[in-house]
Amino acid sequence: MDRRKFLVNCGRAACTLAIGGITYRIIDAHLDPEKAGPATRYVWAINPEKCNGCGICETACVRNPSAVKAVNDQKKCSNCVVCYGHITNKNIPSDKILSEGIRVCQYDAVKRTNFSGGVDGSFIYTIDDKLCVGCGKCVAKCLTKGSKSMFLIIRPDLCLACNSCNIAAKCPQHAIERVYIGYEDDYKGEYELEQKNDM
Amino acid sequence: MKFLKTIILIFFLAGTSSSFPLFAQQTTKQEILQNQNIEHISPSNSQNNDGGDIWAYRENYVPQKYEPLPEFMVFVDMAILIIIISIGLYFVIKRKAPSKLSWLAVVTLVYLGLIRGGCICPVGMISNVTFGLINPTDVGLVEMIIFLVPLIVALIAGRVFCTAGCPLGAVQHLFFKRKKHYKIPSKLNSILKIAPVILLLISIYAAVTAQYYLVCKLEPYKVAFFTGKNWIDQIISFLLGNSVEAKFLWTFGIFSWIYLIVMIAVGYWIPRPFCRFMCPYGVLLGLISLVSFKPRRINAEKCTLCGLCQRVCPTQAITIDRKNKISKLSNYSCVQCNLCSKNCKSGAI
Repeated sequence: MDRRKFLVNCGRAACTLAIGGITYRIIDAHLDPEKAGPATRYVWAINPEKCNGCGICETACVRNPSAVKAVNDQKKCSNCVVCYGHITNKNIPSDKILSEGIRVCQYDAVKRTNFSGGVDGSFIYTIDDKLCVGCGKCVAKCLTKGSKSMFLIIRPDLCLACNSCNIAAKCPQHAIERVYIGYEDDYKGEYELEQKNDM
Repeated sequence: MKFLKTIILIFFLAGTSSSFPLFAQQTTKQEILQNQNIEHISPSNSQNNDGGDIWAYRENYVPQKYEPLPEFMVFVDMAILIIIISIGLYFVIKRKAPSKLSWLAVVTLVYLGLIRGGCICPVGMISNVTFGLINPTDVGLVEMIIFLVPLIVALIAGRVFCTAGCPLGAVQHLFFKRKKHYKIPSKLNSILKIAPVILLLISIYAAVTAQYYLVCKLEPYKVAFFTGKNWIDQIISFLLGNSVEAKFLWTFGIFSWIYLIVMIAVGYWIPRPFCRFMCPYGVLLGLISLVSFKPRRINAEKCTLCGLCQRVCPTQAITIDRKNKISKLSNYSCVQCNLCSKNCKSGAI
């Protein structure tokens, strides 16, 4: 019976050491403010620099409709008369765009509003999040032909914050990154060229 | 207990204090926006002007923010989990009625499972903590505390977490046939018990080499949890009047739903299939439970070898050998549901 007690005590010591070791290993790094990680938890976000709008987000997300939505950065949008993310036929006259032509978005979520008045001029494009399913068709068009102002975000208010993101596992561009919990907005960041001019 | 509570408090404080430098790092985007002296001009006000105004609109556009659930909710969840486990610990040590533990399981299922989506779960944290051991900043402090608290409790009195605090365990605990459920032959049972150990090793290997969350993929009950969270989120946003999607929502594909239904159906006749034959976190808890300070034991002097406890035990942790007059209780597979101590007529457990 003594031998059994000894073994049990050894086991207890080993468990305490293991728990303490894990604690020390992680707490140690977190106590140093330079190296500290998040205090709470990570969530998932799309890196717009890597994303190419392939459309896997629409089907891969466990949520249906997907928590991924397209947004248009108004600071970047060129406010074109004909938007590649809005309409497929670019030879259509400006005053007939709203009534004719085939939309890029099958749910017609990309909305075009006249800003400057008149037939030509500036137009503002917004994406209706109530209709958007996150298929990324407009994003892909805007990336290849437009001013790269449209991009996909994982909406933090809709995301279920799974521990393992299904989209991250399937994304061919590895654009889904683990980030510290926080807000998302429709501001994509500065162009590389703009940053160079500032410097 | 006091010592433990102080340790937990220190973790908590360390978690809150170390979050401040992080806020400072996060503000880079905000600073850029604040420096631009933003005033929102709606397009309708500035219509019929010349085209130059579009630049003013673009400069002054305020990016639309989408906020997640506030960060303190993570701490609230952690606190609720710790409270549930400590109440469960009290019930187990005092050998209270199993119905009280069932009520705790109901609370766990409803709050941690359906309302919060089941992702405050230490089972999946195995991958996260493995990342954390390689690179400590890859794991949040709260995630680590949620991973460690059940292990510390297991060192005191065994796998209390499995019945009281685990949303996956709660599903299985609430939906199994109390009387005359099917017993797997003991040899097959001992072979199947190896499966979680293998799964633990594979999931650690997958986490190290491929950053892959194997445990989260294998777990069947997440389908129900995420759907529940989804619907409750939708109802709340509908009541607040800012619902984004006013249509029927569902989560996961048809195969995940079939997997869930099969697992619940199997769990009705063979109690706790996931806990016993799949859960890798149960291996860690079980190993620690073997050397716990207040284990569940059968008092050999009082035991009459009637076999009642063996019949009600959902995890087949009790073996009674009438020929050799041996009664054993394995703390490795016991999930501390208190059914045996309630059913024992002679109070031997």
